[in-house]
Amino acid sequence: MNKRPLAIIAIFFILGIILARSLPDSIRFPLIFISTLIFILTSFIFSKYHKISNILLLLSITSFASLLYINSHIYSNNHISHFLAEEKLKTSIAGVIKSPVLTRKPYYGKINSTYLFEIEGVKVNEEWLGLEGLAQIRLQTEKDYAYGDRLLVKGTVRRPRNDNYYREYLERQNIFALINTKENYVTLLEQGYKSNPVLKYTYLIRERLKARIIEKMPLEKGAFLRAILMGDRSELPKHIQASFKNSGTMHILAISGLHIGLIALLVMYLLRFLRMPRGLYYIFTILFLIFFIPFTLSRPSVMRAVLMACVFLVGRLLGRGVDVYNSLGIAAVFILIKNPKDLFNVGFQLSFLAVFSILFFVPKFMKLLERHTDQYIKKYFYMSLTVSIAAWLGTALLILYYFRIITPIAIISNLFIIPVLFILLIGSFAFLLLGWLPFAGSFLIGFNSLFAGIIFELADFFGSLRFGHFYLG
Amino acid sequence: MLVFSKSERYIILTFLVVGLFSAGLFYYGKISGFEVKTININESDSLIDINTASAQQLERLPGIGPVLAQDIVVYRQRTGLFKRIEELKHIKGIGDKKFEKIKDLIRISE
Repeated sequence: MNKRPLAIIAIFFILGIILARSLPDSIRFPLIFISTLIFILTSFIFSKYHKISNILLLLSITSFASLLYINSHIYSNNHISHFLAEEKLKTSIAGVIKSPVLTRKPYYGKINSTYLFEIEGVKVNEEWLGLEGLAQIRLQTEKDYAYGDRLLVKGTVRRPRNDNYYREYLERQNIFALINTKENYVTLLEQGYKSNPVLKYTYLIRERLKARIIEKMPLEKGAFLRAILMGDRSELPKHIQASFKNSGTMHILAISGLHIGLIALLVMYLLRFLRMPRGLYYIFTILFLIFFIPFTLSRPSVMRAVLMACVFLVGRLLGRGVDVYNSLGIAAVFILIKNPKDLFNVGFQLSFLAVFSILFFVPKFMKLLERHTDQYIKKYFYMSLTVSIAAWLGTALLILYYFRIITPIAIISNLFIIPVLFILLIGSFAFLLLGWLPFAGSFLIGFNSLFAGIIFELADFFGSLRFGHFYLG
Repeated sequence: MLVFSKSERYIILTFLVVGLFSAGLFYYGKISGFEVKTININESDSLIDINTASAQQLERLPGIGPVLAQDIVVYRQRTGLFKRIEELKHIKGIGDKKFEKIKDLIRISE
């Protein structure tokens, strides 16, 4: 029997989505629905014939994934996407804030904040039409709005422009409209409107911790901490982002397996230290990791890493070994069922390819180096090196395709930057927990500033090395 | 390699049947329901009542600073409540241009 059923399901699921994207528009939902049903039924009917039944099962999975992808592109009659043209519409819009502040940056000398906004109604020809759909709202304000704030705004609403695939990028996140307005044209109608209490408090904690970092940490280093802890790099200066890009270490600004693994370890050790029974500390760690998904605004790389970690922890809890390819497969299928369009998200592709490449290449490289790994230090060094090479091999072509850059220096730079990042992450979590204490707080600010500074210097050094990176096209 | 056991197959097929019918229902809901309806949003709640607003509230209006906001309050106290929003133009500092900017954001209490 095959040991990786979930990994195989994921592969055929992905194939189904790719197939659906290349199908002509004339292929409609009912047709795919009927073919999926036929594949499922015939797989049941031929269950005595293993080979035929298996093939039909794989076809059912592929067809089902196509169906989900097609379904994700069908919008109800009252969806905002049907009401917007290329030109902006000046009108009144009612809706609810659905996220904490996503970005806050100066725009033509004024501070602009963006939020995710669920549209409730739009005024067209003096009549309020009940519409639905998500928009990104940009408010010229420094004032904070919260998740669940129901607003009435007067401003402009339009479809996102199609420059550099920006519209496609937003539509993959189900965002179909851009609203622009100023503080004076916003009225708060209600607070906590139709809000999910878990999300409400998670976002509240996120905003409080963010405020603590902004208040206490130096500007650039605080922005870096917010990037590595919350996935918010909107205020990280462009020149620092460029050093990370050129040194091939941009991935550390996206929360991924490295962060999740560390958080899981820290929580587990803390709970063990508190003498909590084994079963309980596993469960608490899983719950904490699940809480971390909305905390970082449910990005695919975080979901992938949390799901994989949860599968691993459940396996340990039940005393069963977990195949890593299977857990990667579960994570992929789960994310793609939730939103099949995520397959074409760069973050999703990079995250899964990097992990797959590490799982595939590292054991092979380590086998080749078996004779040289007799000492712990040597083993650690070769392991880090092979992980770095494998991740680079897995993602280099994709990075070249999307960002027109190739960064061979990444193999070396990651060897230096990742261990420092590991120390900084420990310091950052300690700061979030203990930053309010007078003495410990000041110590942790100094500690984190020092290590963030070292990372900036290293990224700058590796990013400026000759032949370390090449821009193509 | 691509072989599932019989029990694995049944589990996956059951999930697929549930998923397929859920997707079907979801699709049916999207194409048949959710007609565009008019809704009631009470805009007057969002407008600033120039007869009752404090100077601080008036400052939320574009182009109205603390001085002009105070002038509106003083005008209201001296001449009585506004009967039409256009009366704002009687206040020094509020011309046609400024009035155009704020007229959709204000109301007068009945």
